[in-house]
Amino acid sequence: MAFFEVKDVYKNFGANRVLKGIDLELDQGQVLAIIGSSGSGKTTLLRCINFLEIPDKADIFLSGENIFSVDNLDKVNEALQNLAQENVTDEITTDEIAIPNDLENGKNAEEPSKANKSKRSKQKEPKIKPIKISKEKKKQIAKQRLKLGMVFQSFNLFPHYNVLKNLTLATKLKYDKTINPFGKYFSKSVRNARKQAFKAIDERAVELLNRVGLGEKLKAYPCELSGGQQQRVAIARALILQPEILCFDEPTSALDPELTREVLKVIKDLKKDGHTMIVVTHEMEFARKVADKVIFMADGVIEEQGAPEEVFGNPQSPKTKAFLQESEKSIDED
Amino acid sequence: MKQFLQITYQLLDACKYTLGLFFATLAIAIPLGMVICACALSKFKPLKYVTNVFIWIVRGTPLMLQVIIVMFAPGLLLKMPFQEVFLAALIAFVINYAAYFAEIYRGGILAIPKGQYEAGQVLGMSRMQVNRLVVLPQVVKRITPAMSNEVITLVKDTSLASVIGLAEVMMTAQKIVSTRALLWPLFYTGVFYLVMVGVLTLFFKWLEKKMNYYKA
Repeated sequence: MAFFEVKDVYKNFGANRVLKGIDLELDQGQVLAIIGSSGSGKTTLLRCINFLEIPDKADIFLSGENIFSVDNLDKVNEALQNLAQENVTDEITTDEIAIPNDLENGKNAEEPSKANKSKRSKQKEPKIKPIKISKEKKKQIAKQRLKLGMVFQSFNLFPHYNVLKNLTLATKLKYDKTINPFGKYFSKSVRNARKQAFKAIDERAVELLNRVGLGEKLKAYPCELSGGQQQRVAIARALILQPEILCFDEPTSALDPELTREVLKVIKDLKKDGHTMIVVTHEMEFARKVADKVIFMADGVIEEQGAPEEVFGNPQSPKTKAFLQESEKSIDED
Repeated sequence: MKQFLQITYQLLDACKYTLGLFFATLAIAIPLGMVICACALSKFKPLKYVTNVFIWIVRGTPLMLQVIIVMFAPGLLLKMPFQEVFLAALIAFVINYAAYFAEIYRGGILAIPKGQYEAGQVLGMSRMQVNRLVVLPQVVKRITPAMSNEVITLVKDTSLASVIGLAEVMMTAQKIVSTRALLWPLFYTGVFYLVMVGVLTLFFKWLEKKMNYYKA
């Protein structure tokens, strides 16, 4: 069994099927790049992997342990079928209206289709009752999620805390949970131990910041940093919890080329240190050069996967070919 | 001159009601607004609807009318008339301002990006910790300008308590006008309000500056 395994991920948003059965595997120390056009489900897949978004069905294994497991697919499909039946009658009526319109307004051939569209969008927004998750399960999810670090496209640093506190806040809270909550006020030994522990956490934070090249920015607030620096802080913040796998959701999409480079360099260095990473990215060059494995997604399925040389050098699927060609095209060619 | 000092003293004395009503309203309405805001954001639909209707009624009727209703409704309906004018005014003001504050809080909470909650989540913080340590401090900063506006309005709205005979600054001035046949004390009240609002303005300026160490 591989170090990290994802099996059968399905996810619907209302009637919109975003993920239609995804399986993937990753070995320890490998970097997986997920590429694909917007709307192909890359980000949703990443969010389902760490259960920020609860998938309809998924089984996720980390070193053989099933860390997340959910299967509500039958319920969701049933709800979707009921929904489809309700909508059938609606669609017939809209088509009937559209045809006479089409004949009358010969000049504006586009108009009826527009009218048709607006009618469709007026249809009841397909709603499926969200499936409830018990509190206990939520707690379990929250605990398991710590094994997967997450870096967001929009950094999501806490703007009101300085860099050091951004890094240490969660770890310190975690420490406080392990001690008697009143101990820090009344017991000197507990207080001293806490002080020591916090000092160690601070030291570790400084070490990590040095590693991402921001050792001198300890006291700076996120608003005083460039986008690239903010993202590097976010990476350090994810690392301090010592996750088994680090997930990146388009980490450089909000950055200019220069800043992109400095963030990608950090990711590359992390690979050297043996971190296992999953990176959703639009940076083809990065995927080609740094990743050990590339997955190309289209319409909610894995269209193609393999070593970067295979996927980029010799794509098999027509969709992959088209996407890669498109991404290499310059604007003039259109 | 003597008359001027006398009237100044009378109006200053009346300030204790104005300021009393002001601070008491703030002290109760600020926390109560949080409760109402929590109800308005609740996932339990009936509670949410009831709260929204409540806010609609409170914002949809004049404060003066609310003061009158709180003052006289218990007497008419339950034969238990209010003995204390100040208490009636305070209850009406608290209800009114709590509803407005709740809406300001709600706006502040909705303005916090979803990513902040998610960042807390992936770092293993509990919902309570995220709310207390991540969301709340940012909400406080965001709502300060709106709150300062509302608090300043409250200073002037206390004059509405005169409608049920609370002897605050405006009421006292009107009494002076009718007993001494002088008009200027009425204009003179403006100075008192200006001073109170001036102090508040300086306070909120200071507060905003203090929270300016970061930008959201």
